[in-house]
Amino acid sequence: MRKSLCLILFQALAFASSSSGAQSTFAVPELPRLSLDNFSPGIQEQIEEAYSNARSHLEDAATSGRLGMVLQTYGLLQEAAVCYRRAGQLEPNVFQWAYYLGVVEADQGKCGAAASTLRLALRVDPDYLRAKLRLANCLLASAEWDASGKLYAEIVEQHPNNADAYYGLGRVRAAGHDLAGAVVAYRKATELFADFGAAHYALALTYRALGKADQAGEQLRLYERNKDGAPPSSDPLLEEVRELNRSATQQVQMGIQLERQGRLEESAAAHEKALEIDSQLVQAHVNLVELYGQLGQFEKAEEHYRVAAGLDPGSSENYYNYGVLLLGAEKYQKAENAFRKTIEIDPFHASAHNNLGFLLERQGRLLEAVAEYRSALENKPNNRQAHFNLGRVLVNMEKYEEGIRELKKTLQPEDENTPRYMYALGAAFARSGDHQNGLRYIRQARDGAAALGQFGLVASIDRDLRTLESSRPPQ
Amino acid sequence: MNKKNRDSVRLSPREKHYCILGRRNFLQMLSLGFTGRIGIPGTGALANPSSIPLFREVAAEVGLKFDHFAGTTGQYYMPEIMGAGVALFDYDNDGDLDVYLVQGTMLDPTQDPRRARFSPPPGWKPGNRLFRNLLSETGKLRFVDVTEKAGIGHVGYGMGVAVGDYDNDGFQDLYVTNFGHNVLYHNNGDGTFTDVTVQAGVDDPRWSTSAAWVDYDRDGRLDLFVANYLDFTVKGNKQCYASTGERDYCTPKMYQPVPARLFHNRGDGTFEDVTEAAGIGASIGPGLGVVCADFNSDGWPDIYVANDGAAAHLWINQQNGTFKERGLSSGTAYNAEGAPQAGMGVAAGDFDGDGDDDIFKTNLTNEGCNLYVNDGHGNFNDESAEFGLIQPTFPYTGFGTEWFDYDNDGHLDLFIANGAVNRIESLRGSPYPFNQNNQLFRNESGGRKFREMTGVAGPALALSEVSRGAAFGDINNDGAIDIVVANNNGPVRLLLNQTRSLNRNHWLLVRLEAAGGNRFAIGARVEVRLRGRNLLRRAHTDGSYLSASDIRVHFGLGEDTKIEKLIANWPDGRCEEWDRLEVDRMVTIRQGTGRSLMVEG
Repeated sequence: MRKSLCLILFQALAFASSSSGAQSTFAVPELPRLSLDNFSPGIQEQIEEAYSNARSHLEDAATSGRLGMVLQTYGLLQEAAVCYRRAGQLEPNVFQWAYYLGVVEADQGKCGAAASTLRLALRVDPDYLRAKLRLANCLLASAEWDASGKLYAEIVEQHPNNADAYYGLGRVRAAGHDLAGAVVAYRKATELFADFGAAHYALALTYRALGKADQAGEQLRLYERNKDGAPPSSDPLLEEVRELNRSATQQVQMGIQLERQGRLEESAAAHEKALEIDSQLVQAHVNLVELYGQLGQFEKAEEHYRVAAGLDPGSSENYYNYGVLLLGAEKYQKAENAFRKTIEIDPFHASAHNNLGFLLERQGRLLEAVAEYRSALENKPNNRQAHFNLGRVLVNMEKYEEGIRELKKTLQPEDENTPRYMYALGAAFARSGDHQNGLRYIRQARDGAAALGQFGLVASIDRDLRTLESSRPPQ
Repeated sequence: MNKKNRDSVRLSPREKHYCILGRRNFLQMLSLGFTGRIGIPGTGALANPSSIPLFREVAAEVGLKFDHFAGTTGQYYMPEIMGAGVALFDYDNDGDLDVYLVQGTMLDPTQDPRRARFSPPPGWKPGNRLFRNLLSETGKLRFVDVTEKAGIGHVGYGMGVAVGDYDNDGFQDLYVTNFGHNVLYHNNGDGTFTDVTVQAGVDDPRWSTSAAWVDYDRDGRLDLFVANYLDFTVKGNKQCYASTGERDYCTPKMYQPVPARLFHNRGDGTFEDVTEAAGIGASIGPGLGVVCADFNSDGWPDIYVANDGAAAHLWINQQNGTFKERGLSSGTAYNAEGAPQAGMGVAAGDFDGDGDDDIFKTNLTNEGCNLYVNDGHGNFNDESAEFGLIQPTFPYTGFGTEWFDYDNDGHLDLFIANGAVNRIESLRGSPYPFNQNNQLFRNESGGRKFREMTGVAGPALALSEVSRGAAFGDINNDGAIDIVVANNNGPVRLLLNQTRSLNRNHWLLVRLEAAGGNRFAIGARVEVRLRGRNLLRRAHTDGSYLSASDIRVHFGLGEDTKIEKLIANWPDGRCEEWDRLEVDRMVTIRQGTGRSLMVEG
C-alpha cells in the first residue's frame, strides 16, 4: 500500500485567537500540526508540497496562505484557519487572507469571529461584494437584525441588481415582523432572479402569514420548480480555492451537478477526469454506465459496467444501470439477469422490481409480473409507473376491479402525464363493460390533453371515442 | 417511592364548563389572568449556577451497566453509526421507571463479534437488555438486569424502541425496530413478554428507525407508525470517501429511501398495514425521528417525521383514517432558507406557552437545528436564529432531543444528544473519530431566548461520546426529569437531575388513566393553571431519536404552590377538570372522575 504514515509534526497550536482583529497584537502562529495518514496519495503529495513550501519560507505570507487554501479545499478548516491567521499576521494589509479566514470561520459556525474578521477584511477592500454579503449573512444567523439590515441596505444601494441582498433584507424585515416590507424585498429578489428558490420559499411563508393563501401557494409552486436555484455569484477568490481541489470525489460531484443540468457530455468528461485521478473509484464507473447509456454510447457504458462489477461485485446500482442500458438496447434476457442481480443485492429496489415485472410481462409471465409490480409498490407506494403497469396487467387478466383500482392511483399528481393515465383508466372501464365511466374518463382525458396542447394524444383519443360512442349500449 | 405523594384524584363532577384548551382562549386566559410584567419564578439559583452540577452521571453506580456494540468491521456499513435507542417505562407497574436498551450485533451474523474492530467488553451479553428499577421496592435507585427472566432480549441489529399499551390491558408493550425484521413484545403483566410479531402482523424487513404508537383514528386502540430509512443492504454496501480521500460512512443520498409503515390496530391483537390506504405511501423519505401531536389544533393527532437529507414530512390527519403530507405548506419541511436538512431527532412541545405544540429538529454538523414555531393552526416558521439556537448547534450532529423542564421553572428547556456520523478531522488519530459533547439549553426570557448551559452543567455534560438515543423521565421520582443517553459504540449514561437541591421550584407528575381505551392516554393534552399562567403538556412516549420516554406528564411549577386547576383533554375528545391538587406530588388522574367540560366548537 502506497499510504505511508505521513506525520508532519510541528509545535502544537499555540495561537488560539479566533479573530484576526487581534492580528496586530498577537505573535505569528506556528504552522499547524498535520497528520495526513490515509489521505489519497495525490492529495497527500499536494499538501506535503504546500507545507514544505510554507516551512521553507516562514516569513512569506503567500506560502502560508497557499497552504491554507489547499487545506481549505479539502475541508481541513481548523488547520486552514491557522494558516490564514499566520498569513494575515505576516501581511496585515492583504485582503485575501483575512477574507479566507472569515470564510472558514463562518463555515465552522463561528459567526462572531467571522464577523470580526470579515469587518477587518472589508477595511482593506470595502468593495469586495461577496465579503459584504457573507458578513451580512453571518450577522443574520446571529440574530443581529439591525447590523445585518443596515449592511444589506447598503449593498442594495451600491448594487441595486443584487438579488441576494434583497433576499437578506427580506429576511431581516420578516424577523422584525415587517411582513409588508419583507414582501417588497423578496419580490424584488425574485424579479432580479426569477429562479431564486429560497426567495420564492420565503415569499410564500410571508404571504401565508399575511393570510394571502393563493399567492403563498403560487410562490411554493415556483419554489418547487427552482428548489436549488440561486443567483449566479462571482467570487474569484474562493474559485481559486476550489480549483486547487484534485480529489476524484470532487470531480464526481461536479459531474453529478452537470448531469442535473442536462449537460451530459460535460458530466461524462468530469467522471472520466475522476477516473484519471483514481481509476478504482467505483461510483464514477457506475455513473458512467448511465451517462454513456443516455448518450447512446453502448460500448463505453458496457466497459464501465464491467470494470465496476470487477471492482465491486456488490453494487446494485451498477447492475441496475446496466439493466436499463440493456433494456434500451432490447437485450431483454441480459436485462432480466441484471435486474435479478440488482434485486438479489437490494431486495427493496423498487425500480428494479418494476423493470423486471415489465420484462416478465412481455414474456407473458403475468403472475410473476404482477408479483414484481407489487414488490415495486411495497417499496415505493407512490411509484406511478408501477401502479400503471400493475393496473394494465390486471385488466389484461380481466381482473377489472383490481386493475381499475390501481389505474385510479395514477391520476395524481396532476401534470402533463395525467391525460394519458386517465385515457388508460377510461379504456379499462370500457373493457370492463362500464361504458359510462369509460366515456367519462376518456372525455376528461381528451379535455386535459387538449388543454395541454397534446394534439397527438387528442387524435388518438378521438378515434377511440368514436368507436366507443358508436358501440355504446342503448340506455 | 414515597407513597404519600401518590394521590389518586377523584373529584365528583359539579358544574359544566367549556374546555378552553383552544389556542385563542388559551391566549385570552393568559392576557386576562394577570397584570404587569411576566415574572419567571424560581430562576435565581440557576441564572448564576453554583458549583453543584445540574446533572450527575450515575449509570454504572446504580447498576445500569450496558455497552452498545456496533459491530464495526472497517467496511463502513451505515447502520453501524446510526444506533441505538433506549426506553424508559414502568414495565411492571410498580411505580418506577425501568430501562430497556437496544443492542447491535455483527451485521453479518456469521461473523464472530470478537472479530469486530471494537470487541465487546468482557461479560458482554448479546441482545437488547431490560433493567428493572428497584426504587419502589427498596427506596433506593438501583437497577438489576432482568432480560432473561422477562424474555425480551431480542438479538438483532437493533435500532429503536417504541412503548405503548396496544391491547389496553394496563401494561405497556414494546415495539423494537431493527436493521432487518422488527419485533413486537406483548407485556404479559407478570414480568414477562411474548414475541407476537408474526400473529400481530407488524413486521417490516426494511431498515426501520423510530416508531411511534398513536391512536390516529381515535378508536381507543393504539396504532403503530414505523419510520423506515434507506434501502441499504450489507451486500450492496457502497464505498464512500471523505474529502481527503479516506473511507468514511456514506451520506443517505447514496441510497434510496424506503417508505414508512402505518399499522392499524384491529383490536383483536392483530394489525392491518394501511400505509397506502391511509395515504402515508404518497411521499417517501429517509425517516429517522418521529413525533405525533395535534399540530393544527383540530383534536386529531398528526405525525411529523424528520427525514435525513430530505424534506421533513408533516402528515396531517384528515379525520377519516387518511393523512395528507403538508410539510412544505406548513413550513416544517425545510429550514428558513428553503433547504432540506439532515433531520435526525424531533421533539414537540409548547415551549413558548401559547397553547400549541412547536417542533424542534436536530440536524447534521454545519446545518444547525430547526425551531419551528407554531401559529396555532399548524403553520410554522423556522425561528432557530431568533431564539439563539442556530449558532451553538451548528458544529454538532444532533440526535436524541426533548422539550423538558429540567429546572422546574415552568418553561420547557432542551437537551440534545450529539455525535457525528462522518469522521471529525480534528479527532484524526482517534480510533472512532465521531465524539461530540451533548448540549443543554435553558429557556429564558419567558420563552424568547435559549441559553446554552452545557458548560456550567457539570462533568456529565462534558462527556464527549457518540450519543444517539435519549429518553427522558423522572427515574428516581424526585420531581425532576432525568435523562438516559444511549451511546453508539459506548456505555449508556444516566444523567441524574440535581437541580432539586439548587432551587425551591415545585412540580407535579401526572399519570393518566383513560377510560374505554388507550389506557395510558397517549396523545392527551394536559393543562395546569397557575396564578397568572397556564402550562400545556402532552402525554407521549414518542419523539427524540429511536427512543421512548416516560409516559407520565411532568410540570415544573416554579415557585407557585397553588394549582388552580388541572384540565385533561383526553384522546377521545372529552375534557375534564380537577382542582384541589397539591404541588410536589405524583398523582393519577382517571378519566371520568373529574368535572366534565364541554369542548368548545
